[in-house]
Amino acid sequence: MSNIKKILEIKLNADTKNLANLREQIADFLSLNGFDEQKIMQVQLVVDEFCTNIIKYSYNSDPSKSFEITIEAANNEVKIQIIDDGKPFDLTQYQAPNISEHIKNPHKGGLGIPFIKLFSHKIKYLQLSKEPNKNLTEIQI
Amino acid sequence: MDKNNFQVVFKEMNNKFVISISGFLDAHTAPILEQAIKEQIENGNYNLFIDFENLDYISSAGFGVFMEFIEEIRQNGGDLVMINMKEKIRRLFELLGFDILFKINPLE
Repeated sequence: MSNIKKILEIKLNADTKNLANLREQIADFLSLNGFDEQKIMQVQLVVDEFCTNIIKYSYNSDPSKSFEITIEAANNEVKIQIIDDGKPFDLTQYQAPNISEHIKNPHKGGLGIPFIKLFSHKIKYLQLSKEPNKNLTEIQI
Repeated sequence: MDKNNFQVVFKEMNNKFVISISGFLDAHTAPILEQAIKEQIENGNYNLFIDFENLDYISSAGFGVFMEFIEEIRQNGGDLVMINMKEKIRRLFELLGFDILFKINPLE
């Protein structure tokens, strides 16, 4: 039996300065679990983009707020679970312009969600409670 | 290297303006690059080369900086040319389709 951890749990304060450390923990964890460089970068990117959205738009970059990220490595798939208590945001319902639209009409911003959708196989959203808010987003890569 | 490390170094060589970027380009560090490119544009320098040799990571915020300026730069007869891009970053540009929009490693 391998004693390599299959689950990584992180509590992140809502400050973009914490993204670098988060990505490093993801890389170490996935590398120990045998994932290749390309898959690791895709997972880092998806988690980075989703967390950036939560930090900026759900928590207005208030570093006293925090949220939980769980990453599970199973076979060739990575399952990401994010639980936050910020403004509800249902990624599955959000109609972001696709990347080719951005290429035709280049402008700053709005690329994060298309990036997440490009690299994800499955996305689920559940509002666990209202007032106080509790949101669960699950992403499989 | 500090995990939040991102650096911009500017060089001028034979009337070409090179911005060398190193480290990690994300939502936290992208404003540094945005400011650097803005300064060049304000100085009328539209022929810009971005040297990716020491860049290890780029997120959408980093791509967003290039997207923000590319039209203005081209409308002024210049270009943003990406040079010395590592394979893993280049693969990401290709996967996302940004290799259509930007000139990458033209000397290869």
